[in-house]
Amino acid sequence: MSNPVVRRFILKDINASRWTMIGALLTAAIALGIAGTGDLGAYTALIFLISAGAAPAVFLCMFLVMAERKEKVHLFCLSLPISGRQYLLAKIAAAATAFLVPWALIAAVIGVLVAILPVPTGFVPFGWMLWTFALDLFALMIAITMVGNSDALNVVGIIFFNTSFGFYFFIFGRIPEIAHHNGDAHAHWSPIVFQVIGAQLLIAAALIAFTLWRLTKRRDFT
Amino acid sequence: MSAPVFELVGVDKSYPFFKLEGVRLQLAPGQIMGFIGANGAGKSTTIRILMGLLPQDRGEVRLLGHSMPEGQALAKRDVAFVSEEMRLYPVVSLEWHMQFVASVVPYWDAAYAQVLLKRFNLHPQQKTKELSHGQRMKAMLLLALARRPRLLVLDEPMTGLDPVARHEILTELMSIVTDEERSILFSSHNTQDVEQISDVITFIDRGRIIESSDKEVFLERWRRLQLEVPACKPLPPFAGVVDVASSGRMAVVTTKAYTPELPAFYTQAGAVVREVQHMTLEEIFVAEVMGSREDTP
Amino acid sequence: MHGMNSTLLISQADPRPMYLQLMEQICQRIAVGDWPAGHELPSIRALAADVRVSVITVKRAYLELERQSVIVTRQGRGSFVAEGADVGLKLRDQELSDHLRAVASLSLLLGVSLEELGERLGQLRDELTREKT
Repeated sequence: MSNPVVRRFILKDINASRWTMIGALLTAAIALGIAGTGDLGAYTALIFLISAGAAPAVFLCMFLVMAERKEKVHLFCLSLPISGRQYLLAKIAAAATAFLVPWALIAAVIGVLVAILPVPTGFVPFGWMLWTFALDLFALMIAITMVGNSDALNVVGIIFFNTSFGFYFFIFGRIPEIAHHNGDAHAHWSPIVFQVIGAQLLIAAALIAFTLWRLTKRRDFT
Repeated sequence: MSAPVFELVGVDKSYPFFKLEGVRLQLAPGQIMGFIGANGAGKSTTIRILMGLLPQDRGEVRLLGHSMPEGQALAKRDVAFVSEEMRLYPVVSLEWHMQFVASVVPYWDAAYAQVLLKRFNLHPQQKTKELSHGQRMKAMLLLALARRPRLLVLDEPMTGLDPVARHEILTELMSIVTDEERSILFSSHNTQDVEQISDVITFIDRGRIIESSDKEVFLERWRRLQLEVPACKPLPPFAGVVDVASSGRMAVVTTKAYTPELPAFYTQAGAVVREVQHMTLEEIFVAEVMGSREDTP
Repeated sequence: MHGMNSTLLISQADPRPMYLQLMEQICQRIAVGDWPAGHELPSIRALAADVRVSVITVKRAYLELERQSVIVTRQGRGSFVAEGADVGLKLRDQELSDHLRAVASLSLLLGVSLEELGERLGQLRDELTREKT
């Protein structure tokens, strides 16, 4: 936004998120480092990578959104020359930036590594499915914490987040077209992969759109 | 008056168990308004509506000429707000807050901020989570005062403060009024803070503004008369008398419209006027609230 | 500024209205001679800030003082202690009356008779006269 006050608010939140962003990049770096060290290394790397890609969503929502409202710091923010609506939109912009930058960087690095290193690439389609699923989790956490106003709902969101990847593997990882090709030397892009990725992107967009719509309608900022 | 600093006209706001009704309030520039009411009377709700934190169900709200809540971003360029429930970011320092505020407001008086740091005995490097309640209030006040706002809105600023902190804050608030164009609105359920420095007093009870007048007018209109009454003779009514409390041959008459004729009137009725006393703002407030509650059950 | 630095004090414990307390203290300054005729009073706002009392209270005190011809307000130039030595005398006499009134009510409270009062006053005056010589 061209408004300098709003820009400052966005930068403030991104700056407050720097450790989360750095943590995500470091976790991914460690994952890539140990990925080639046998089965345990590969498995650990997978868990670390998922954490690096998705966990920032929870951290960002917890301290940028939940803590600020619970501790009434938002009242301090709103005492400054910014409207309630601008304040909320700035927060979404900052959270999205703080989430997407490491997310995109990690994906880019993996993409480059996969292209130049002699590794089997069968896992890539399912990898992309997982990676874009992280976007859905981020969009869901944002929607729950910013639109919802309930501690209970926030807890439900975090629990869902923690258990979702397990279920994801169970549901999508065992689809024959995907499961059979995960260990291949070359990526096999069956249609179902594109359908799932497409649907996930749509869901993420819909959740964000819903959040933005609800926030622009909000008038009570106490 | 020249354009009021703020204006609320016919403001309503309904909640399941509470209603703000027909709120009409305004403040001229260069004045301090004390906003007094019991807990839950509607002070905070009114202030939040004024600051655009809450939309009114009905009525108009204008803050420095801007229509609220739509114009809040513009209005807040010249309005600073501190409330008792407000908090600062815990893990950063007061210095960080000073720099952040300075970067988003149109005017920041850095020299005055330094003066206030010394006066309030605050350490800019200290993380705000380490501040005591009183230090935090002073820190938030510093962040508001150094903006040199045209209007300072304070919601219960003195609650929970020790006498020294209160003294420091009152002194600083009063220094604002040396500028004729700066105004203060502050709410309290404690009348002593308000009584001393307010030019205008507003009473609110159960969602309704009961009275809003110049402080000196309040203090002059209200009196308590200690009378000695002849036995078995009820006192005749007189306009403006809100309460007569008798016990035996002594009676205490409370009036909200005192005139010098009143003692003579009672003397003629056969009573002896022992004393005519002024009332403190607290006594006036209680009498006003009791009276209004009887009128609107 | 005008050498007044919070020497005026409003007491919460004093039951009298604040504007009266203010008036009394200003009158004392004038009576004692600290603020001679023509002396410029602090601006209303400056005094309000200094004593930590509302502007409207100071305004009222100044208005009352002007009504009683103790001070004179010149449009756009401020308020000044009124000319006239009788101002000082008037104030001193007022002070005496105030003190006498306090003595009278105290004696009533304690049940001291007028005669006893007169005797004790006489003794005090004798003492003071002896101390001087």
